Amino acid sequence: MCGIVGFLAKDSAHAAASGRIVLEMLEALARRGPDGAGFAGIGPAVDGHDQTVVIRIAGGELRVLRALDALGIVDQSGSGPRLEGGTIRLRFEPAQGVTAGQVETALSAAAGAPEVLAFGPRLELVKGVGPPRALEAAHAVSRFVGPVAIGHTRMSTESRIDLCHSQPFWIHGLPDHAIVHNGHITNYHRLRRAFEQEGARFHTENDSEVIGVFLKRSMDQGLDLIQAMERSVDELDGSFNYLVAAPEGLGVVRDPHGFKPLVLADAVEFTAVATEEIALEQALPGPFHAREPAPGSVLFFPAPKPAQSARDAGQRLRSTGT
Amino acid sequence: MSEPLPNSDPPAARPEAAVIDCQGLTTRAIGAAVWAAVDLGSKTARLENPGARHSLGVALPEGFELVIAGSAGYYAGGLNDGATIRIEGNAGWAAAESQRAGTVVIAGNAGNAVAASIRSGLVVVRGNASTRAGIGMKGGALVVAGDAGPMAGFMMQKGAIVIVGDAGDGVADSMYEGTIYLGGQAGELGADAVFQEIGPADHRLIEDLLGRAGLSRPVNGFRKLVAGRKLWNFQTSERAVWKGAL
Repeated sequence: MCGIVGFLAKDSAHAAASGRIVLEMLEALARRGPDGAGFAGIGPAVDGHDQTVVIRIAGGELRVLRALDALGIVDQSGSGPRLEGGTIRLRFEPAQGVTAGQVETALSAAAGAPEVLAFGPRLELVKGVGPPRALEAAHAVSRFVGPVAIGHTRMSTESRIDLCHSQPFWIHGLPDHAIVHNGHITNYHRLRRAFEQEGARFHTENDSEVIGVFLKRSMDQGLDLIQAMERSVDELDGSFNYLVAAPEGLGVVRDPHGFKPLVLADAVEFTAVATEEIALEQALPGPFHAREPAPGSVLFFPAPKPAQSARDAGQRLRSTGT
Repeated sequence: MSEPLPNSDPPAARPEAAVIDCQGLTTRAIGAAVWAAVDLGSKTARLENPGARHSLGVALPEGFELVIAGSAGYYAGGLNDGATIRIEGNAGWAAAESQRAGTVVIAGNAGNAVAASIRSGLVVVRGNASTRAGIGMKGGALVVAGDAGPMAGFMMQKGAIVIVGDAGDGVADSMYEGTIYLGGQAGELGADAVFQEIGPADHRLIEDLLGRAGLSRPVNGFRKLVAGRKLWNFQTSERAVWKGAL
């Protein structure tokens, strides 16, 4: 089973509600996945002077904090490192050219190789075992604000039930990109072997992780995100609906056989996608037209440019006469 | 003031249409309310705010009419026992699955496996049908006013499917018997699917089904797909057909 949801806000009012909307969609799909729940959102655009990134690491142990300290990774959010839901989150300014991979490598020696769950100026990614309400209790995802967000409720079939095997998956090496997947990638082992021989690193035994590795590898070979998604339809086997959250927008991919359900509503103010229509109905009051993307679809819904959002906000103010 | 007439019969019991607001109700509570209406002798019921919940209007009896005033989730009108069920929005997977008798009309689009394994009666999709429409049908009829997704009529055994629009790849794959009438274009045909010459009896059947579905369309231009029957028995000389089918 599993349930996936995605939301793209096209105006500031919906961007302000995207965390709550995705949580409500997840709650509607909670029975599709009692084993885990997760959320990934792209926060508001940062101004050009802000060089900080958010990093979230699995494991809330003191030794990880000490190791981060030893690496000179110091929280600059003002509130200190956040220990929540078995993870550590901090915002820091990496030294010139420092990547998540280098942080991870440095941590592996010092602190027992905790996985870097998310990395990027705008990405907030949280996940854990249990239902969506446990996710909300640990991380207050309903308070998230931003133009793009995805979520997942997990029914584990192939791999263990723990935080790191839950979804979404950050695409390691690609800041601010995350995926959620519903289905089963049946050529996972073959792809994983091939990618590992080329030097790719896998962090879990979850077959869904290979989607992010696939996209990253294709983009390293010169494809853009949409071209990489198109290639994945031909090269991934099995059943898959997957969503990509990126600063540029929301990606939606279906396998050529339509093995898994997916409905999509593309309204003036938002684009919402979910495994079942019940999630759209529960989280988004008001009439909208829900349709099923054709099997084999590769869709990309661009996030509004910050300038457009500002213009939209201006129109909003004028139209209400203030 | 006149005396009441002696021995006057009470007004004939005229069951009202039950209106059930699904807001805040569990699927089980909605089902219980519908069945209470059936047991009290109501002839119709209307589900307001269905919210695309699953398993609405399952196994309802002959003579009963249920209106679902919005979208329904999975298995809407499943195991239908003779009722008329009108879904005013979309339906999720397996709407009207295993219908024994009756009519299910979906105003919007239908998800995967609409009319799966129905034995009799009529299922109408006024929008588009997704993958595997009419899979394993054992009788009855499915009318799709729009397009049907891949694998329509997969492993169909009996009955008729009318697709007014286009059919996706794999249409009529591995059918035993039954007929698909196609108004639009077909993708790649399914294993063992063959076009057969269409005759006056076919046109009468299409006309009848379109009429019952409330669609007025000219019946000319439909094409007829049936099983080539090469998969009925295994023959080593036709290994290639089997390889494609399996």
